[in-house]
Amino acid sequence: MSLYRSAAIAGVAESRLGIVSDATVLELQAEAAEEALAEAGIEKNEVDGLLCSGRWGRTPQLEVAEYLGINPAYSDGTSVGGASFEFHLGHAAAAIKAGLCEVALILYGSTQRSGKERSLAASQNLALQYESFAGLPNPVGAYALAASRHMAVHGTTRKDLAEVAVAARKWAQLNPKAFKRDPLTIEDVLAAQPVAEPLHRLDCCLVTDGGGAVVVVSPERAKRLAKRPVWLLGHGESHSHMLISQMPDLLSTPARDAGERAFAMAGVARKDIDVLQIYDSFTITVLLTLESVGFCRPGESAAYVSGGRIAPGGEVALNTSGGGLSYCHPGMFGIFLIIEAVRQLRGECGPRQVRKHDTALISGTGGVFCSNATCILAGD
Amino acid sequence: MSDEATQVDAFWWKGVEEERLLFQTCDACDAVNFYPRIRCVKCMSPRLSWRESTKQGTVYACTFIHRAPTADLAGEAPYFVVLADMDDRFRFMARLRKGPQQDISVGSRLTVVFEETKDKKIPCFEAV
Repeated sequence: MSLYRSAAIAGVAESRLGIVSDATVLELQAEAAEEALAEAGIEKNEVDGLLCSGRWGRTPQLEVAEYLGINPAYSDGTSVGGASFEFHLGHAAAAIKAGLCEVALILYGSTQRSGKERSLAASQNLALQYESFAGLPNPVGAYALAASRHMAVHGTTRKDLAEVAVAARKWAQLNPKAFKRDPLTIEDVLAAQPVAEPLHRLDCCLVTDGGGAVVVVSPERAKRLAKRPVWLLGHGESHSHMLISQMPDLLSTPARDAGERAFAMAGVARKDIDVLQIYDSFTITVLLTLESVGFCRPGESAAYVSGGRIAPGGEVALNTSGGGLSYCHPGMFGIFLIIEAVRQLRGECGPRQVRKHDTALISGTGGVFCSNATCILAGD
Repeated sequence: MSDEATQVDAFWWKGVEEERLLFQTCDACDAVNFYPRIRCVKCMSPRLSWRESTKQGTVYACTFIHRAPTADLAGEAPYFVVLADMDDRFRFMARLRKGPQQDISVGSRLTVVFEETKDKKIPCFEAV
């Protein structure tokens, strides 16, 4: 089944972001849901599909649905790390195409910054007992292992990684909602405190609070929206492992298979993509994903991002919000990749608006390169 | 050990107690299984045989940890965590034990040794 143009994004919104010490995860999701539905011109009682994921509860769908007063006919709690929301977008489109629902709401919220719910320690359950004694901080240590491998095989340097962080900061300086907007140089990134070498502090995503919402509708419902719809052209997903020690090849992520599937469905070529939103949990995540999705060949990602090529004014519009590195990162970033892609495609991004914005690719990575879902979108 | 430890897990940890590094091969399809399982990861056969590793391997990737994940390990930091390709065809992750030889990188040769910790004996790497 192809999902080509089977569903459209009708509305997107963030909740308050950054440090939000006086809100619960449910309140953040309510804020985002209300704003996303409002910009779509859709009443809450039309929502008949709910997709969400969060580490804060055993049954997040039940808690969110009860709080918002939604009784979904289609419900999906796919939870595969920060990429979950790119998975949700495909699943929502499939459910809509199958006639199971007409208006699906994708939601996320986290108070990990204020609630201090994030820990570097891993639990001892099940397969993890064969890895946890090694003392690898999760997830940064796993990404550091991949970076070390990339450096050894391809000669990539810390400066190459720093290019990603500096470009993200330059985009964030154009985004009033971004958490970190002060100037950042390559030298700053190189001089930051080491966390898990070769990764240092500024190679790592932010730790913030925040939530987001995405409203997905059928082509029929898309005829009556407050804003022009954004169409799903292609979607692909994949996951390959849970533990980094079980990842078959640290230089080839599930973005390879997911990206192939998405491009095949969309019927467009890589050169046709105007805007890239690529999950940047760490600087190395962007390099490996660019190679795996096929925007450059293995080992060529350092050259791809060098010399400000992915910064504002560069040849490639990548992570135009400032990304997880500088805009926000409330534990899982995937929903914010969708939000920024939709705004770029609609031409709403003000000083950071990309001039040519007909198509966008979103690549969500979850866990420690465990999962990937890739979405290709187009404006109306 | 975790509450979920099955007999397979208990057998592997007993090997560690005896300073043996165990893995499995499948009698049906010859696939190497690590971590150990109750059905083969490749063909689902229940006919898995335990093997004892030669404990020799090569660094596949490594990271130098400054922020340990647990309070127990904080005193050890900074330390290397190594992902190694073992000569026995499985990949294995462990911490590099503190010692005179610390300048490792991708391609370095290693051997597995065992170290007592507060809770239990664990495998570590040592550079050779």
